[in-house]
Amino acid sequence: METINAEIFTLTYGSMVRQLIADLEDISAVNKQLDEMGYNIGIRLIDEFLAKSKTGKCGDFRETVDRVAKVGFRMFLNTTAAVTNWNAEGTECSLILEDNPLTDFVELPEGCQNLVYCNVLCGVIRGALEQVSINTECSFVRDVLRGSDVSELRLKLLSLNKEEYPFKDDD
Amino acid sequence: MVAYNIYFFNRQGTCLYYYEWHRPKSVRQGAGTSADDQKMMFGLFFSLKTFAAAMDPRQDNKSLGAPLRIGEACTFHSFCTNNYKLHFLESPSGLKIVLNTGPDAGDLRDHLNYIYGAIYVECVLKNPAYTPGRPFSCELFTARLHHYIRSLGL
Amino acid sequence: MPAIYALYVINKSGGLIFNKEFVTIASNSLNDTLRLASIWHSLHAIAVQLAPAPGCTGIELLRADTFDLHCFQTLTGTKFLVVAEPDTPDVEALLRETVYDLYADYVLKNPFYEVEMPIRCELFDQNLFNTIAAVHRRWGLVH
Repeated sequence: METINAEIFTLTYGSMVRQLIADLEDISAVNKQLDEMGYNIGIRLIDEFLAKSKTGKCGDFRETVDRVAKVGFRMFLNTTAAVTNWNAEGTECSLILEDNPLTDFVELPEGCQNLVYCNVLCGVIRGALEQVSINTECSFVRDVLRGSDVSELRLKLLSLNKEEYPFKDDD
Repeated sequence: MVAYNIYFFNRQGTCLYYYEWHRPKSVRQGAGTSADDQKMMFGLFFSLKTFAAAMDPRQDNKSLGAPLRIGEACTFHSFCTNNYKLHFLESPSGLKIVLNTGPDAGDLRDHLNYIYGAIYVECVLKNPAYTPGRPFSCELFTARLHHYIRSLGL
Repeated sequence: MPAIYALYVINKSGGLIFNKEFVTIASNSLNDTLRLASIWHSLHAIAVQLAPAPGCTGIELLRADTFDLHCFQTLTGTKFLVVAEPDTPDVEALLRETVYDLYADYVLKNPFYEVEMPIRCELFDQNLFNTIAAVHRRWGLVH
């Protein structure tokens, strides 16, 4: 597999975030846009993931999250996430990211303290899982750029979709 | 061994790509129009999947007609008739590939997987000009697909 | 291990007229089986309509993850379906010759059997069961 320098990836992402801030000015709009962009990436990335990792069906939500954290993150970000803090029903959990190539060398300035710099990751996970009929909500609860020691993503399972016949049976 | 045609569908039933190399019985003699042909094909394999899930000798508590999730139940991967063979692959993301070949083709599941992973994912999904859910026609995809099918001796 | 799981006979209008399981399998209720027979009848016809080459006579073999479904359609429109273990050999020959012969003998030659109606012929049942049992014994499957 051909590789590129990770730094160019970090620089490109950083430049894109800066441009979004310059264009939109409102930090919460930037966060939302990052999530949208992530979503658009996620809906395409899922097929790449399925094809390259030859993943079969997961038995339950726990297995799915494990697959995302170990195989998915390794494949695309060359890092793995730890899965912890499961709630009692097994529908919510945390993904702990210790190192994240997107945030190398980044420091948030004064005016951007509300910026969720890596919000694109939330969108990617949401978009990818939606394509395999799993509806989720994903958000950052802790962020290294805002003072925490690790980044923590909270992933919540909302519902599972079934395959329905898309055409109406009236004709 | 001959390849007749190939269809790519998404889970909404939209035919994202259709190509025919060789179709001695034209669409007009069959379903009528291309749109009808594609809709009928979608209906055919959708019903065959439901049928296969219900006929599964290993699975208890089946309810015929209940919506299923991909990968949850037994699914079919091909059927043969006297003069053609239909190969079917469904990815967990809802993409369905249907390939019709001559009846003597073997098990093409690995090849369909290759078409999915190395051709569709590479040329279509990674193309930023592609809008997911809409039909696509991408030269690189077409070239690679034809080359691959030809290399199989089809 | 090759095995024949079940046999179904569908009349020319798509109605199920016979069903029998030879091995204990997870099966459907009779209602569902009737619906499945009629679904198969339509799918068989749609496959002909969608055929890319002329001269198609319908689905002969459906391959799924856990079973193979063989279908033999006679020139009179009756369909014989067998659900078998994947890659079971010689099922076509079994349907076309042996089972069809048994049908022609014990069902059609029975003067009290009405054509296209459900098959309730003891002799057919018995002989069919014996044939399949013999085939299974040959393959090493114990009943």
